[in-house]
Amino acid sequence: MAKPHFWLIAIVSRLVPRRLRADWTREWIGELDHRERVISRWPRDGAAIRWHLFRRSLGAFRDALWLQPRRLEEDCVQDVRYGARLLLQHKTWTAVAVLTLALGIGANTALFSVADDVLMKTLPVRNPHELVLLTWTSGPRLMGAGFSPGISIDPVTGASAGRSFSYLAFDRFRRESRALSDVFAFTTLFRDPPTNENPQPPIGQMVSGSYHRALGVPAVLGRTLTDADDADGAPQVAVISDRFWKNRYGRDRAVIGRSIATAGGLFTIVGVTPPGFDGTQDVGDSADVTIAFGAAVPPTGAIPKFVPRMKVQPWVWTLMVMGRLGPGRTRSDAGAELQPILQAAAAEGWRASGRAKSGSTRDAPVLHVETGAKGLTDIRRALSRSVWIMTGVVTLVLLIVCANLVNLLLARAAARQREIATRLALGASRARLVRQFLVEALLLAACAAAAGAVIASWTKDAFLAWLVRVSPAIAIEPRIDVRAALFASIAAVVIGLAVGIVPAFAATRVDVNAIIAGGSRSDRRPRSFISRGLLVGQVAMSVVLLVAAGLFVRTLVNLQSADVGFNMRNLLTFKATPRPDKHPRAQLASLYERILARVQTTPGVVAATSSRYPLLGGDFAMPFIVVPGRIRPDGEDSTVYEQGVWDNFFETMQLTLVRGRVLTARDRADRRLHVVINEALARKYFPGIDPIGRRIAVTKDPGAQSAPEDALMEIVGVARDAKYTTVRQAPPTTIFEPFSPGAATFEVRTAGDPRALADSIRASVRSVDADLLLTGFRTLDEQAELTYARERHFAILSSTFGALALALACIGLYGVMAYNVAHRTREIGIRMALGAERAAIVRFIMRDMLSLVAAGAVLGLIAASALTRTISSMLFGLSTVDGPTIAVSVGLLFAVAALAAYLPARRAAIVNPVAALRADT
Amino acid sequence: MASYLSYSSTVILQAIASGYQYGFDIIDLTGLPSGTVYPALRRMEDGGVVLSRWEKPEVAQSESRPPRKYYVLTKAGETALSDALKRYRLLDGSRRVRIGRPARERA
Repeated sequence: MAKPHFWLIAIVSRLVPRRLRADWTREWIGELDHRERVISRWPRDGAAIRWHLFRRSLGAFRDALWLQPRRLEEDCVQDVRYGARLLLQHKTWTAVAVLTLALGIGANTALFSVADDVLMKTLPVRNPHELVLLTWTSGPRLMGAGFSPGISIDPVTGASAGRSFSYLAFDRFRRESRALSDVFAFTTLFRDPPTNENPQPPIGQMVSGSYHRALGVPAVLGRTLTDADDADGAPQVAVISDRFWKNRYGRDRAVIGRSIATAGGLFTIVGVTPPGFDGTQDVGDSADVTIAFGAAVPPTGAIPKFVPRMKVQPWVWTLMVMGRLGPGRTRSDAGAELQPILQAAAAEGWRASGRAKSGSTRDAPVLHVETGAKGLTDIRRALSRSVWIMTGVVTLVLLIVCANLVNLLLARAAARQREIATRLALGASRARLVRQFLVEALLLAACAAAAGAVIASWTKDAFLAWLVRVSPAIAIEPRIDVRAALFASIAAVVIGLAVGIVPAFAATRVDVNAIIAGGSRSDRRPRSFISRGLLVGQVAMSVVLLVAAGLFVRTLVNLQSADVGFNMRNLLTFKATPRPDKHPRAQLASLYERILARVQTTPGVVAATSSRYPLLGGDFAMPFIVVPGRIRPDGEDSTVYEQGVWDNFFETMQLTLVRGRVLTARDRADRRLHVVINEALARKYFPGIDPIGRRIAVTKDPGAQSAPEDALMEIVGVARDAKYTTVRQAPPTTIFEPFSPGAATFEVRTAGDPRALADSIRASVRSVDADLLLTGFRTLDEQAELTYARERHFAILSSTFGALALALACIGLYGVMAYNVAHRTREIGIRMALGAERAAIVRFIMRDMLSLVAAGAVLGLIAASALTRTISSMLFGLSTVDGPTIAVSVGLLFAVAALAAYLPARRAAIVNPVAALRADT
Repeated sequence: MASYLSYSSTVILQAIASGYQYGFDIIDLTGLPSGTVYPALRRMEDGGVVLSRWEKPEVAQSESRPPRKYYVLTKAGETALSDALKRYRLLDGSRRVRIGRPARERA
């Protein structure tokens, strides 16, 4: 008769710890059997009896479960203690293993923190996912002016995109929107120029009164801004950031009520925002001081000059706008609702500017509502690529480390054959032993993770510095937070299991009898296959890293030695910004004349000149060109680079002309009538004809086909192509015009090291005019290097990790080799006894190992050719399949591998054959 | 089990003290499910409150069935039980009922 209750007991008994299983089963069976007998005496249906017994036996499940923790607890504690004791017995081995793994985990954790901060962290505000960011796109004929921050313009179609709005538009959004429960706005960051009384002015931003409230940011001290602060003529108050509070005031709680100088005035501090809140600007940018729109800032402050007048000049777009979605509202609701409001405000503002010409239509802006959970995201997007590449590099190194660890564990396990065989013979289950090995691996990983977390907290700053261009307010706190610690812990567990499982299984698959009987001829075949496979993998990964490093380094070298078209050596450059109150425009030209004259008399100076924009500084004007009589083909990119130059510019920079003449002082007096173009422009717009004497004009309108007579300029010379903006970019079509007064960059050619003369040159300028603001003293080499700072960082990073990977792979190689040799002592002894010479032995051993390396190299090259495609856009002057790089990488690999293989091989060959034959392996 | 006994554990102890020393008998008397009674018994055994014993093999063999396990109170268990009864006054000791002597003593 079927007895389902007994089956159930049999099944559930598998859950019970083995030690207790027999007893437990007997107890349940005893009870059930007795119960069955008792019930059977009564007249009851057989099925009902069985059902009753089955129900009774269901409780066995809970009982068995209750016994689980006891089993695991006891066994695990025992495992951990045993494992810990073993690890402490082999201190150096343990230290090496933990250290290398800690480096791998630490680097990965640091990078994870960085990636988390840069890519994933949302603003630490209330419900960040309700926040939206407003942006717009439009055609080329914009309805606004004075955009701050700047807009981006597609050079071909002229389509524009931006994220700033007029105060009028913002005010209307705020008042009329139903989809957004709150709307707030903020300007770009500004900073007053340093003065003697205030050498380090804080970085500031202007915001609407609703800023802190809409974000849901409380004050940790004092209060945050309110709508009352926004009213015209409200008292000038400011809220400071926690970082600024810590750095400037040492977290002194008496800071409330103190004054701070910013935006050209004095503001009273009324509150401090919490730590971790860095504002809504882009990553890396954070304001120290936040003031409200109502503040009456003088137009001579550092704020872009339209900001204070934005309330009365509705054609000026200087505010970035964000909002919070109302309950149940979506982004498209908000977009549909605000679009007409924006267009009405834009049209009204443009009409108020007085520039609207009847009959000419402008392009209406189209509103876009994006998620604002992360604040502004431009830099985030640009950085994400770099973050991924760095992650890839660091992960590869970690994999190599793990492969090393597996080999180490395999070697250790093989040495414990006797112990394993004994325990198996004594009745331990294989599963038990596997668990033991896993626990040991997890212990290692746990120690490594702890050490790795420490390493990560040190190296996180380094990674960040490499990623984010050095800005005065690196707004990412260098600390390891909970998420990173969690990451390290999970990594440790995963790595511990992954690394431990293969050795655990391989080691416990032993022929007990053979080992106990004597001679420990273990089954090496599976083990050595795994080892060799891992080795091949390690070599392959090292090759990938070496190739990448080679490519980056060569890119860097190419950039550093690139021909820029003019003489870059011994040039000092600095920027001069005139102050509107001290330096009236009409007098600037003569001021610069005097400055240049004085600088040229400074000892050590060969020549001095000036230009509107710095060379190799990435900064320039980009209007559109109009060539009268030439019809612009559709889709042609007609942007040109416009540079203003002083009289002796071409001679000082040693930028040669290929046709015509240079600009002189007379051209400057004439203003804009005579210009010099470069070869690229001549090739594009005057192919095959002499451009000298021809006329061109520049305009802000991409669609213009003609220009008024008084805007035309005559070409008097053609200059050689040179790199003006960055070293990477091919020389763009460029127009050199005579200099017109405004901010300027000075270039000074010196006889010797320009850095040595920086102070005397500065003093010379000051002696002419002490009020001129001078910044950015650097040599042109340094200036150029700023444009490829990222390439340099990558070259350093990849070389470091490539070298590390190579070293690790070779340590692994050495370890496996040494172990192999140790185990083949008998075989070697036989060979030697049979007459093989030392050299032959060495060769035989090395050939084996180098064939592995060769396999790894081939695999690595294949992987490299695929993976380096992702970085091809970062290279300069070479393709991803670069002969010299590959040759050097592979050559280096073989050289180091040969060395790693040679040492144990040599040691094997010195072995005494008689002792070898007698060896117990 | 230095801390106090839970209500269900007290009930179980009382059952044992009343002579219901086999697992299923305790289940019948207390009305608690087997998934409660057995873990409680294990816990109490860990804590030294009860002891488990197997009935004499002769007894089981005479009835041609597998032997059963039974539980007895230890000295500590008796103390714990009386303390607990003071706390759970509803289970007052006067309700101790002896129905019959357990099989082991008959042998």
